[in-house]
Amino acid sequence: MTCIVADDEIQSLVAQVLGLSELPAVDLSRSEIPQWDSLKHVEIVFALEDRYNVQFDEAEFAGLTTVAVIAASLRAHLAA
Amino acid sequence: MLPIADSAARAIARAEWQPLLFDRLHRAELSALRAPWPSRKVRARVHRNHAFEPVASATPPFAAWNGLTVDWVIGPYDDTFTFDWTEGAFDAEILWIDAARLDGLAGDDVWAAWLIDRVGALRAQTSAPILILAWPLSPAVRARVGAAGIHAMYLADLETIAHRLNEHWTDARTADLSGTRLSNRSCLEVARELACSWLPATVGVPIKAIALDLDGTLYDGVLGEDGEQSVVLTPGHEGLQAYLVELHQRGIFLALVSRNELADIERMFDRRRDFPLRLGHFSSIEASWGDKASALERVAAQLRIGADAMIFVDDNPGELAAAASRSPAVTVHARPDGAQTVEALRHVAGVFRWGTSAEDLLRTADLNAAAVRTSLMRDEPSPESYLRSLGIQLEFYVGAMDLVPRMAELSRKTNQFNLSLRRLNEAEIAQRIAERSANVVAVRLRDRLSDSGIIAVVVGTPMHPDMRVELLAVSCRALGRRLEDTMLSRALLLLAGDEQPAKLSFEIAKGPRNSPALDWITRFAGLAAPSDGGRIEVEYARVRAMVTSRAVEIVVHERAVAS
Repeated sequence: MTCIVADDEIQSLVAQVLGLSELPAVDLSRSEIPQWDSLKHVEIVFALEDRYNVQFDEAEFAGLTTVAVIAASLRAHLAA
Repeated sequence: MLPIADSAARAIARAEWQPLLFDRLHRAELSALRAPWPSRKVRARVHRNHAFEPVASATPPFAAWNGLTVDWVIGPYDDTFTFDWTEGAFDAEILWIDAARLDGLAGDDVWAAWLIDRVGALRAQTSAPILILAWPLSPAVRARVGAAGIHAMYLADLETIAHRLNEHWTDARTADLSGTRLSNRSCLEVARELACSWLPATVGVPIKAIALDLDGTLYDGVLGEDGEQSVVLTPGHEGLQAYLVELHQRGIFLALVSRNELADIERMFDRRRDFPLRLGHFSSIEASWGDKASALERVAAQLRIGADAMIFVDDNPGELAAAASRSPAVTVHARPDGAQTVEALRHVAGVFRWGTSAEDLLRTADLNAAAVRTSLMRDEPSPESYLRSLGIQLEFYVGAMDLVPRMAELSRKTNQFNLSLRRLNEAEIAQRIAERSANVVAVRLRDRLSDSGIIAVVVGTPMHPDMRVELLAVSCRALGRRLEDTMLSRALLLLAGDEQPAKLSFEIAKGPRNSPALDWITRFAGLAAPSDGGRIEVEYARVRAMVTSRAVEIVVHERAVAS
């Protein structure tokens, strides 16, 4: 079975957690979004794991820096 | 109250939120919930040695569902817990402790002694209630810290959640990222208990009654259509009924508000012996085809409580919305699975309590006795003969440290007969006693029909040449017996003690429901209470002249320890 993770789902989730009024661009880096600090990064990771019932490896956490990267990582997890 | 449309919308939203808040928790769904209704703000300061942020960030929807907004002021990581990082007034102080991160605390004795020492140091800085969320915390450490005699200190039970979540309690994988060993799921569950149970029990007022619909709420089916033998007690509804029996035993009133014939209801409870609930568990029954908001008002009046201290449970969101538009009762949607209703009920602010007082256990019997007293008052020829017929005993406790929890409870819960509406917590009352024993007087009331327990508290301080009375509160269960002057004049005399003040200066606040107290002081002082609060002064000689033991047995325990 193929699970599709749409970029706009991730954009919505990230915006929701960060309290953004507009969706972040898929390629916008975490470092370019002031609200996306380390504490919010934890919340985003937790929210993603909840929503998609996946577990990222510890080594992956730091690399989840854009919506596009997150979506790609999720697709890989869900396809495995 | 909110405007009608907003109140109804809030009841609907509360029902819609319930599956998200009380079934399996998902952080993203929780973070999407936004409450448009106003809420009471609570400021809590967090002293911690591991990350609290994953908990704090999940609390808003749980707090909002209970009409609260929590302003978390989180300190730096500090394994020494020195409490010197900020100042200010807070409603609660939270200790968020991972004991495994503390060095040199091997063994229960050392860990308990350290914790008592640190809580004592914090208590020396503030009289705000202290809520401890520490893990691991063995039963031995819990018992020792609990017995340390630190007032307004509460120990949250993280162990039960840890036990239930088992291997999911911690998550080594995310510990470095999040700053805590606790898993995401654990943080969400702690957030829920903190915002719905522990914090409201620490800074809020308790729920006094639960009014319940019948059909689709306490069982599956419709009594009027299916008949009493055909309505189904599902396992979930059986659990719900058993939980309600447990709450009844803890002193929370139960009431029925149903659109059924009373005879049908009585027959069902008589014949359905499989129901954990019996008709006798309900202190008020409203079986009528009228609107439920009016029925809730009648229930509150019969139970002598404010409707805002009541929960209304119904399976029909429309009924909840209609009731909410006219009643301040808290609404809970009864869901098809009774177990889900239990989870929602458990998490209504004010249902969880840190302990059950002796007065809680006396409440139902005391209410039943009230009906007999009303009949006696009508039948006896004079006030004296009425009082004599009751065999009333008033016991006065001066500076009784062991009654501090009950006196704080009275201060927190009493709305109708509360002159200043001051909410003194345990630490503040204990401090008044430590300063001067006679600063705090409690009153216990018994008659031949029931023991009402400690029903009044008066707190004051000498302000030479006068005496300032900052708190005067009488439980509504003691009202209507024509005893107010007798008990309060004596209590005020004991409060004055040897000081012989020129005047008693009463703090007055005008609230939405404390007119009984304001009417009393107006009559007692022979002066009109200031319309916007402030103070009212009464000559000490006038108070002395009011003291009587007419038709009542008086017992005074000076600097006593109540048994």
